[in-house]
Amino acid sequence: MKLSYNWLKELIPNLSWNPEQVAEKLTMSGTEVESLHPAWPEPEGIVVGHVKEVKTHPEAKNLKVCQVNIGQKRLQTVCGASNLERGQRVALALPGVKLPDGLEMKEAEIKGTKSAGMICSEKELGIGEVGDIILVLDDEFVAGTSLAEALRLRDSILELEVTPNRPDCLSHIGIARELCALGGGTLKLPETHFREAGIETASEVEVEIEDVVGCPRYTARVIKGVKIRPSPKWMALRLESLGIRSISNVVDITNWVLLETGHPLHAFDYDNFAQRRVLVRRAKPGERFLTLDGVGRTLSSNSLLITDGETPVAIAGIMGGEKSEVSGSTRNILLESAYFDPPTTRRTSKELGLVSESSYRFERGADPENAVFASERATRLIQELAGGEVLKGLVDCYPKKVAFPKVKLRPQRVSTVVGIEIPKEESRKTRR
Amino acid sequence: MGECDTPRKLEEVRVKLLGRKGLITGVMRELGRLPAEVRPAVGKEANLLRERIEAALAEKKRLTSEEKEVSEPLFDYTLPGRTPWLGRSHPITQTIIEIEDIFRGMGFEVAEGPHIETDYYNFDALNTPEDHPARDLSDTFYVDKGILLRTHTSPVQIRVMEKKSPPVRIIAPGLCFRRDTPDASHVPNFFQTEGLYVDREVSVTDLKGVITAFARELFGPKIKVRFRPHFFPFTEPSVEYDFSCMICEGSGCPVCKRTGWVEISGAGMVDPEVFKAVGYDPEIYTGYAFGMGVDRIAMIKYRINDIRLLYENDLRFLRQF
Repeated sequence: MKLSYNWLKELIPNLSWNPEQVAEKLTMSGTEVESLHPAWPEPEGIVVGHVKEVKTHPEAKNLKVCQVNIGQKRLQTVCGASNLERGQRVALALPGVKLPDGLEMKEAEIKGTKSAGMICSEKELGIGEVGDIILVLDDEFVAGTSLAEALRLRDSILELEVTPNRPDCLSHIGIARELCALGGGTLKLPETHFREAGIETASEVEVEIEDVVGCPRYTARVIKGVKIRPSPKWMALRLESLGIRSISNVVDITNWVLLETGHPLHAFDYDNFAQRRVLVRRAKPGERFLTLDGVGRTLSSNSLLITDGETPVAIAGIMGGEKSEVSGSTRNILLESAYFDPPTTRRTSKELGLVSESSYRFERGADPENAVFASERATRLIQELAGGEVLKGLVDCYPKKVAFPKVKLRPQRVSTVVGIEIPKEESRKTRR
Repeated sequence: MGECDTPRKLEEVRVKLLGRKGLITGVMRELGRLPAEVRPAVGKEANLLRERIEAALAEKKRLTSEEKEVSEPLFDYTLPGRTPWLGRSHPITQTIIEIEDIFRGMGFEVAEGPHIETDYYNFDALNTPEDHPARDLSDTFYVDKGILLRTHTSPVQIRVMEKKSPPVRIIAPGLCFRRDTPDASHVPNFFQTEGLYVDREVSVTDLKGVITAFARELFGPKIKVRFRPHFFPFTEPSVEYDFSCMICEGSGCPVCKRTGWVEISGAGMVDPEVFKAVGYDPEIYTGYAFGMGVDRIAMIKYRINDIRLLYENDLRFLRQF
């Protein structure tokens, strides 16, 4: 699993360890850090530029001559990108800078016009795939700031080997909790506040669980009138640095919350539900379902399905369906935050040969008590980044509380097995 | 000349014709007495004849001598003798023998188990039930349903404990199999050595002691051993242990990936569930178990940087040990 050091730092504001120290502490406490590397290339000398003036090149129709403010001074640069406009904030590589792909910036004359530096695309900066148009930054960025600082590119990625007995470590909060227990600081949970409005969620969706062994808990929220658009750059870049492709704000938020809390969520396009209800049931032997990766799958009665009462919309805890997937035209969302039982998830995942970030966590064991927190966190982010009206209340179908095993610790047994006496006080301090 | 079948007979013909008293030689010698007007013609004739005889003799000699050399080879009795090639133990065998010697000195017996195992010995009895994530089908070779090539030497623990009551103190070296794609540090069949000690009041300190003593015995007193918490279904608590890198002595090199440590294997205190499977009372007995990558140890010991070299049986490689 990949972790962002910056993210850990946001969760533990008083974390005093640097990335190398965090790696060492985690390795020596049982979560081996396999590698530690920078999240992005961080070339010096790439700054935020404010495009003040754009004129067509006197000698070439498809080239533009722009005046770019880079803080203390202005540079004239020639650019051929089709999406360049006056007033944009762009990433400008200054003369003398070497880009990640090895290209070196020089002051030059292009068809008789002086040009210094270059306005870059994501691809040229080594932070994305888009290479045919220039990267346009948010308006709030100040001209002259270094790009690495503006986009918070300076981050370290830790790759961890989490052992199967520690599913609680499969998230940033989980690892932050671990670091706090090791004396690294105090955990500060992320913001979950949002505004509710309109009708009661319960009057908009009804949840029924047929198989309470496979699905002990299912919570749902409905958010109406969201605007699906690309995620803000900071979110997209962080997800991509952790190996998850940015798709759209709502989909990215469910992935973000998964990496943050360790609890897998799913957002459905609620308008694709034939009925206003969620029914969790076993699949009929041979039932067919088209998952959102575009593959048609044949299910056995081992598989658990999320349905709209009739038609399946997801294979529980593994993957959603193509039909109910959130798309550019989605307006109303049903946000699922549930708890699926590990053996059921594991069997289905094996049968179908389908492993996802979600199935990986459910089959190792998610926390049923974490479902509400994860749902609230995602709702907060959706309201912040996609707008919309959050209906009143959470529909929480939790027929029988999952019992937590109590662990008895016998001090005598501890000293027999460990071979040294551990003073009562030290033992208590460690367990706190 | 046609009847000559040995070089000697041929030589007799040559002497008879061309020798000092030979017929042709005689003609040449008499030349001076001949009248001057016939002398050149006779001389020329005699010379031509001599050349023809010499050519015929040479040809005949070539033919007869070929047969001769095969039947009578020349043997030089003063040549020194050829050293016969002696086989030797494979570096892995040498390493296993060394490991066994060290542990025998500490009171361990050597045990063995089959390469083809059942699900029960390889997994279930080792507290790894069917639905456990640690039991991934993907890296096990199955022979048939429920029958597999053992993925570790740990099944030997169960087989020994089933037959014997504590105290038990064994090591079990042997081949293991996993569906890994071969690369510089993985091969689908590799050697492990299992260690197990069960008695009253065996503790983590004993485990640390025995591993450290082993490391010093094998690599010298300067070696350091590091234990890190880990997870295995059949031990609790579990550790992974590393040796300080003997190639760079801790300063960082490609073998230890610049960490100064080389991972050797896992260990831990036998899980009470494992004791229950073999009928030992976990309230009375405790024990430790450890694994050890034999290939890894051989690689450090002989500074081999690619595990595949150990399994290619290239004589140019094997003759170096």
